[in-house]
Amino acid sequence: MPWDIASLFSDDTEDDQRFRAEVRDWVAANVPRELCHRRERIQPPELKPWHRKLFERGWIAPHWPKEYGGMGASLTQQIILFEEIVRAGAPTPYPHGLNFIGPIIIAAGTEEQKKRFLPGILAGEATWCQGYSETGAGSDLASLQTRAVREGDHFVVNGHKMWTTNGHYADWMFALVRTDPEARPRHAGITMLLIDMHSPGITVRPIQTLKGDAEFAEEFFDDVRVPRENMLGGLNQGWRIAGMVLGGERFTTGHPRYALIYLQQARELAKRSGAWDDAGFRERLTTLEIDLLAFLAYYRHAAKLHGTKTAPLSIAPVIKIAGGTLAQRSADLLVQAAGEIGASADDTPLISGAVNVAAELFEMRRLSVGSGTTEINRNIISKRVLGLPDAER
Amino acid sequence: MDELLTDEQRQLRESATKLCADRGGARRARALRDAGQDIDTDAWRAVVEAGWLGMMVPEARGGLGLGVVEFYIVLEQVGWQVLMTPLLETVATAWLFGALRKPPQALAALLDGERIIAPALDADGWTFRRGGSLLTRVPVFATAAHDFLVEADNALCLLAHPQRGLTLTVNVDGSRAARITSNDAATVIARGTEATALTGKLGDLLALGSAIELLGVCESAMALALEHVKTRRQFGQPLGSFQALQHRLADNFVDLELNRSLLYRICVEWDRGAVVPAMIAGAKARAVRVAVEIMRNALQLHGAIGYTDEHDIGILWKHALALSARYGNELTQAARFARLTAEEG
Repeated sequence: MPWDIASLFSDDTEDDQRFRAEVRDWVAANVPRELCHRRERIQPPELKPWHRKLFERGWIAPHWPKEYGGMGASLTQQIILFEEIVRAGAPTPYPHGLNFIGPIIIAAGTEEQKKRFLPGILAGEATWCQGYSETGAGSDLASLQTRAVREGDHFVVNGHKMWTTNGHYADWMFALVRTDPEARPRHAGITMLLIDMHSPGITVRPIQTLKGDAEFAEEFFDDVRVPRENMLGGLNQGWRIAGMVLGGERFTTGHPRYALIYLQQARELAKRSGAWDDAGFRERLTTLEIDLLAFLAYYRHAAKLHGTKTAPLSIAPVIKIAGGTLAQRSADLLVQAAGEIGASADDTPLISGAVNVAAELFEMRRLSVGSGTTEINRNIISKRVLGLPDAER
Repeated sequence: MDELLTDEQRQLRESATKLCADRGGARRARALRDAGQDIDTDAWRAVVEAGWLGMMVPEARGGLGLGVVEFYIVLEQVGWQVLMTPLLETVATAWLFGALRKPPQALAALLDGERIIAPALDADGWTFRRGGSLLTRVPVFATAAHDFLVEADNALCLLAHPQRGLTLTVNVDGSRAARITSNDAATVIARGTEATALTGKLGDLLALGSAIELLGVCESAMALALEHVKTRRQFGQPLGSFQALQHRLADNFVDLELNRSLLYRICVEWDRGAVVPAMIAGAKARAVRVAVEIMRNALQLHGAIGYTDEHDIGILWKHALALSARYGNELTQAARFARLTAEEG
């Protein structure tokens, strides 16, 4: 490449450049080697010491305000931290506490809740999971049925949550529960509860993923008592509260790192397998590299607009659709590059580390399903950006 | 992109939008095509009066000293309204003249809009001398041009429009290309490395400009398609309420968003002196690829009316086809991208 694709089109100021260099040096000196370039998912307990190091350096929550222990950093600095950790091949901390519920507690929590929960999230002492999806409530999240009934100063929770990342490691779950079954529209009867996963009545069962690891779990709630002070925001305000989660988060989950890595690996692997000599392979590689270039330009552009008044509503769905599709197609190409070992369950060694092409292929499927499917994001663009009409009855 | 513009750039955008809407439009382009004209002289006069021709020429040399970002702003509107004027070719040629150590005399007439010079260079080496005669190809304004900018014997030259020796190709949008054979003497304006380097950059600027115009045409087609599906009713519903159609339009929108950012960003990099030719090759390739998708979908959504010459959507597709073919089509530019980004070993 005639450019450093990892920092191409970056808008680093001089301060940002200094910060980037500082982060790069620090990461190189401090990252635990055994965590780098691992192809399998690193489970929360193994990640804790690395989380702790970032916390002690003061870099664990760049996007949190300083008064809550964050850096009050710009989105650019958040992205720099993320990019430099990824560049070292190191894992990034799990987002559920730091990026999902942390900022919501800061925005909507009581002083008591902030004091109680934020320090544990920052230090990585508490592992969090997100309790949204249910068997009957996926894309149609507002149809969720896990019930919470007030009994004195407690809620009593009964129901079933599914597809919960790290559910089997979590100390805490932020859950959307139904507190008003009669409410219309249905999302007006939903409340956000912070549930201690060690409470009596909770049964957790891990679910093996398509990729082969135990990332997910499902949780059964049987008369689980949740103190009233664990309600976040008001009663029946859960939908609005949950809406505060999206934003800057898209810039880390949607970062073009996967496509970047896969396309580089595909080049290396193709030269070895002979796929490099096929015109078809080269053409597809070129198409994806051009798409990566375009997506990178969009990503930087969107990062610059993020948080400004004029930031278009379309940023989050465009990143989700374009970034997800690009990463998936890049993983598809990686399989082609591997030739006859494309279905191997074993790792293939590369100069840049081992790769398991089939595992990557399967892992990428999550991008078009998790946190809003591609189809839901297309609906958002159709209705809210392009102004296309609803069906008439 | 709008959000990142300066106040001056916003004003330029406003005036460009107005001028192009007033003077251009698919109907106008159709009328010109039917009249056999490859230039809209009224629109050209307005463009000249707006003072855009010297936008990329340094002030010391009679221009406005603006950047490619400003050029982008204007070209997008030119594309949107299918303005049949040699704005891209003139601004690019004027930029080249202004960048030469010794600008040619023709620069003044070029900036006045009195002299139209069509670049007849081809990156793949169409231009060469054989047995004393010059053989080259001009992709557009073959009839309207007064001179052709050609490369011969490692020099950049101006060749006066030869009255004979032109094999014309009329494009579907009414624009005109030609193969030129000439024994006439050409005036040398630059030689050696200066000529080679600037010719390469001119090719880049033309490819970039045609990609930006193409973006404008696509935005125009997208607007037509959206308007149509919001008003046209079938099965007791507006067409636009059907999810199968909504999702295709959403994908078109995503593709266009990426191209908008990429093209804008490349302009910013050009103005910083940091542009790499491979980026431009990739951007033109993608602009064409996306245009094919947008046009196909926009036409399909229009149903039978889209298949008529009477409807504007067809004119937009034809113009998009012409812009796609000139200065490197998708596969030519994709192959160039692959060449330029190939790693050793």
